[in-house]
Amino acid sequence: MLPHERSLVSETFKGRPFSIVGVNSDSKEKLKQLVADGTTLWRNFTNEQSYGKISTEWGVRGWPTLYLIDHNGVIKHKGLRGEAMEKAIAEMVAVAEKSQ
Amino acid sequence: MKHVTLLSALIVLPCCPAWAQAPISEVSAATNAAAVVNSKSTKEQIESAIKEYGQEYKAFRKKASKEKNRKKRKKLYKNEKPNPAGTIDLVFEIAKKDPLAEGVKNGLLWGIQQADKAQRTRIIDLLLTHYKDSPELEALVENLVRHKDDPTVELRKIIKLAGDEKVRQGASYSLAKKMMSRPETKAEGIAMMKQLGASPGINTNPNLLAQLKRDLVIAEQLSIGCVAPDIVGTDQNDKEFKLSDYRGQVVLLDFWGIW
Repeated sequence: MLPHERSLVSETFKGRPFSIVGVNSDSKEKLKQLVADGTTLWRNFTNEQSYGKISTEWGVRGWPTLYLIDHNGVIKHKGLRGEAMEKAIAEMVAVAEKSQ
Repeated sequence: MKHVTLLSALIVLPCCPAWAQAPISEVSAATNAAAVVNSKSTKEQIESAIKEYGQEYKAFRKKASKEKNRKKRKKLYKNEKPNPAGTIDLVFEIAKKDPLAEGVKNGLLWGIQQADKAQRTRIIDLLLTHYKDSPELEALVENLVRHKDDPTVELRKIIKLAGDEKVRQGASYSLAKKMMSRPETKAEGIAMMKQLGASPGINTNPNLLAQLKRDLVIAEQLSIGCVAPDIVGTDQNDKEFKLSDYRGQVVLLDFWGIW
């Protein structure tokens, strides 16, 4: 999971209109460490715990939970993983680039 | 009378050897068997049927746990696991003869746990006829939503007939949620959920109300095609940022942690 996500931002979609935004459920101290050691290459909201405020508001039951949001802020996919997720991102990024 | 009850149940259900054989051999062996069976109350009849199945199941579990080969164990479960259907039918037949007798409600609530669809419908109908005001009918709703079968008809019956408000609320919630999960009835389900959320009695059920509100947010704001609600939060250095800062880019919003 995490290695694939890192490669999405550092290689596959580098320089294109794509970002990962994390909602991280480790402690703030743990997250600092995960940023320092390069586990996460993207910015994260601190959720502090698995029943934290943001995940509760978003009705998150399982971890990880993934949403794909387009350049207009519209939710396009939920729960895609691996290759299917990468394909969907590629399509969405192409649309975002056309609209720029 | 009760002797006839048990025998007729046995005739209807000759396919379950474990409990069927025991009483028959008892009848042929004991001269005053009729008196023995006759003296059993409804509660005792139901409890002994359930107990017998429980023992059979326990014996099977013991045998299965000795089989260390996973494939063979799986085969064992497939071929030899005792089927509760016969016991459920027996309990139901006993219950039907004297539905208000002690032990009937518990027997039926036991039966519902492993009943098939047809048995479930029969049990629910009997409970709603004779025990419609019982708060224990909550177990029916929990049971209905656990199965793949469409629970709509049964949930509607419970909503209409149950006397306990909490039971009705649970059934309304489950029905609304089921409808929300199908595109063709989603709007109707949302309306129903909102109606339940605004009903006067819902405040006595705070857990259900909280769950209902979360479900509505998910259905109305977090479904595919919705504009994502903004997130305003802080990063690991307490610096504030927003999800909407990323407008113009495709965002993979990732709820993650390594704990």
